[in-house]
Amino acid sequence: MAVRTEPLQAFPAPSGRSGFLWDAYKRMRRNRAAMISMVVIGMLVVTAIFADLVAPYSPSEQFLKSSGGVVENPLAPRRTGKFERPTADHVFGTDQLARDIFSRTVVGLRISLSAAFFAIVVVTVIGVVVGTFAASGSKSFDDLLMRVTDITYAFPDLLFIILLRSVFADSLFGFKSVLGIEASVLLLFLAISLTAWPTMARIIRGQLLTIREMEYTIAARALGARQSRIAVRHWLPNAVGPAIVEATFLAPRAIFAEAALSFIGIGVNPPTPSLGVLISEHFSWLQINWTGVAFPTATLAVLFLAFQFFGDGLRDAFDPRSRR
Amino acid sequence: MTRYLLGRLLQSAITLFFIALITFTLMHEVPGGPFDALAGERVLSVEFVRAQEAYYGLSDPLPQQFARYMGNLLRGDLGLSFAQKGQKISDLILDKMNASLLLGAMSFTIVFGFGVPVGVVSAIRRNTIWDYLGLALSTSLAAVPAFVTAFIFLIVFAVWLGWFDVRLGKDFGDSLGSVRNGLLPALALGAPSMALVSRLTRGAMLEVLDQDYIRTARAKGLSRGGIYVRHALRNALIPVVTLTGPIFAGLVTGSIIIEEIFGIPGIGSAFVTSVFQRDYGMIMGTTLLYATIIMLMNLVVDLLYPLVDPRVRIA
Repeated sequence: MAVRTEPLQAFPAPSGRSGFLWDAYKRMRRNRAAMISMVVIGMLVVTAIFADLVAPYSPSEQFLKSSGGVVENPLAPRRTGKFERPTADHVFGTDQLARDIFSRTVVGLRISLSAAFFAIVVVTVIGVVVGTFAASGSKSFDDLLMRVTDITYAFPDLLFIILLRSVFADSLFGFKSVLGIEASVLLLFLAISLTAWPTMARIIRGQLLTIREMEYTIAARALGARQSRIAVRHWLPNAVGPAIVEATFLAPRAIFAEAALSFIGIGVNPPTPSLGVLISEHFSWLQINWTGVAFPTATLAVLFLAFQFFGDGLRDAFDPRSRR
Repeated sequence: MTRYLLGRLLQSAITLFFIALITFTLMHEVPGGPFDALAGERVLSVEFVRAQEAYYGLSDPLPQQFARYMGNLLRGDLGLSFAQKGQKISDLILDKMNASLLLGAMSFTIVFGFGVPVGVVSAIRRNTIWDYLGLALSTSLAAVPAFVTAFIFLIVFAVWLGWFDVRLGKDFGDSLGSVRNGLLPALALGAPSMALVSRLTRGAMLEVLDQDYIRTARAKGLSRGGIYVRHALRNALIPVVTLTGPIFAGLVTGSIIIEEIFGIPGIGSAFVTSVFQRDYGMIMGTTLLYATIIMLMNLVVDLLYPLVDPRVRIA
């Protein structure tokens, strides 16, 4: 999707591919941490998409073991199949209901990543539309956006999400599930997105206002380019950098919000195994089996680190001047 | 100056009004009322619930209720709690605020007490193993939210080493002895901000150390320590000082999850409980308090900025 600018005939085209996104990619390729993170994110996304194939068992299947009536050694701990330490059969062990933690973590990963994906799509769409309107529309609309952002910045994010999430108990306008996603999950995603779009709108607005005054806009206009061509060929590629960076950093925020809210019991409803639900369920049994908390937590940590390094890499690649 | 301050305060008041309006509307949209929630334990007669609702003015139209709430708020009255019989919201908040403020203050001390020195050392010993170690540590801590750090701490210190009890925060804030129990939560809460502060200090310090006046000081024969502390650090701290306000606000208002994990009886966990109990007064009180803290801290920093950096003047 690299946007290519056609060079004027008087100047020979530089050899090889060029274009805004391609240049940024070339700069990022030198950043090892960002490239590794990109591969990690890619692998996690593939795992999440094919979660049903990757997970060896169903997330709700129980592996109870009966002692068979005859107790051979009464002093040995009873093997019930619950709280098993990691073994070859259950690489992350089993939980308090003898379910496979690995399978549940893989499905949880899918929920976390869909939270990120959903937030990015919704926030980008609202942000671009509102931001463009604010930059090109009336003054009063612009002022309104500023007031809305003031309120969002002063409103503690988590409080707002908790309240909004509680308003709709388990159904979204009467639907229990939409497109196969549970309404409670969807609502949580929606609440997360609603706290984040004003920042995106502000970024888009700021970018457009700056670019409009740039020399290359004037140059393109002087060369007789149409307004639509200027917008698509010149403004969009230059405005898109900070927006992509902001969108990348939205992912860890959405993943965090899902996990944190599910942990306190206002997010995804059990038995749906989101990472937050998993941590919350296993938290009560921390002293008996810490692996149940450790593996979902580690998955979250990998997600956060990967998105952070990838986002940092993107920011440096899009704006070489911002390098430390 | 007075004009600027008045303008800012007016703007904050308007923002606060809309936050109150949004919270009020959302909270009344939450299914079930304060007395339905109580009925989970005891069976309440319909007549009793109606009588209670009438007593607390809950059967009036919502706009009327909102107007009454705002009127009382202006007189400093936050109303009564539905969940804790006969308790004033202001008393409950003050009571719960102790633990949250203490936790926030401990975190704040850790954030700047460690963040600034780590940043300074990284800058002075630039491109050595110490610099890289500090950078790796702070980048990782900044990326991972307190939520995850807290569980890592619990597994390592409470389960493996057995130094702490898992629910270590339950009497935090009651006595001086309980302060020790706040170390782990405060460290987890402050870790991301600490990383941010150390990275910022390092960057600012490097920039200052490149300046001509540092070379002049060195040429005059001043001791290295004197240059670092009296000439470099004083200027490098300018951007760090501007972060104190937002970080403090973030620590105090961002401790909901940490309080839930460690069982600290603070304002954050009280908010979560109040949502479950539909304790309207408590929900409003907490939200408005948090919003006030955030806006106040931003204002304080904007006012502080010209004091630490004389080049900046308030318009």
